[in-house]
Amino acid sequence: MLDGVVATAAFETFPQGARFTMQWAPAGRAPVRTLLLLPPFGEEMNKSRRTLAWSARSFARHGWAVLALDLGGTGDSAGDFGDATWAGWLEDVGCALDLMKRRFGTQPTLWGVRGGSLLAAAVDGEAHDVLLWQPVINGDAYLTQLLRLRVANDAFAGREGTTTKQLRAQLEAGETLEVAGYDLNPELVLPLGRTSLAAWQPGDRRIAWLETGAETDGQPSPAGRRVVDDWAARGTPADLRWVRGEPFWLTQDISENTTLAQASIELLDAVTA
Amino acid sequence: MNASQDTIDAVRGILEQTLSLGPRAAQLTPASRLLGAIPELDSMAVINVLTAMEDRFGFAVEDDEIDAQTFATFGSLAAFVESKMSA
Repeated sequence: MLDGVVATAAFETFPQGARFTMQWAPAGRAPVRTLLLLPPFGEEMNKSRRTLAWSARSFARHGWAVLALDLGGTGDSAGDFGDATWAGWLEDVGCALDLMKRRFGTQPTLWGVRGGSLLAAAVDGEAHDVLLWQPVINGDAYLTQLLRLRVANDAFAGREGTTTKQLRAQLEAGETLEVAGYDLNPELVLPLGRTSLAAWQPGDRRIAWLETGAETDGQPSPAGRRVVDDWAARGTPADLRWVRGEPFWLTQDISENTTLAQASIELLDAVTA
Repeated sequence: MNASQDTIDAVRGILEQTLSLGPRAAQLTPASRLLGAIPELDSMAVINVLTAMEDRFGFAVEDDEIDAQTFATFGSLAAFVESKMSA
């Protein structure tokens, strides 16, 4: 135990197989809020680990408990990435939510980071509070971005002329595609591509949406503003805020963002108060 | 098409962050050459810049819109973004 935080690594047995989890919780007291971390995907997750672990620990110091889950086929969980499916990941999320409800007796907050935000939008069931960090707004655009990596790779290797359109057709024909070292299963990326925050009906949820960047006087993205305005028009007001900090999921070297955690605490505590 | 100051600032911010340009970002003018002049801007970095622009502005860049001309200068890149936003 360090600074009043208990960090626990465990393998949980889900029906789909063993899932690796990390939990950070306040020592010796019941957490006042619990969060399930829905992680970024692929390379972005590797770049994010340090910031997310640091943030989870600050949340725990603040009295919140955080459970981080390695989705099937990722990290230390069972399965190959190429066998992972969107439905399987949603089952993993459902099992993790059940586990947290049994363990803490409260409704967890979904903490979606980058691509993990699309999982938050796809989780059925009762309303959860939702915390989004630099969310991927549109799964379809995200899929195109992934496929573009393959186009660039092919061009590098002298195979000019690959297009994202053609790669999409291969996925739709049921083919698994290798992109930047990851085997993309069509059953994972096609449903992901059909998920978008703009199309989501968040209903009676409380949502905090945070973006970050290293510029001195940044603003929330126009793309995020549009979605949040649209939710507000449909009866779900969300807090959208920009804070200055490292764009940890994309920097070439691993960087640490320490401002998002503090802003999250402020926004979610305001919701509870 | 000339880009607005907001667009120019946003594109400068994206280049600064995705390429880790540091103080060099502040010195970019519309005439500054990008491709071939900024060593960090390899083809992977071009993809990362496009991704960051799509995420920020919410437009989609098609395969056939990705060409060296767009990334020739800071001004041509900002003009591209401006045209995508008004499309």
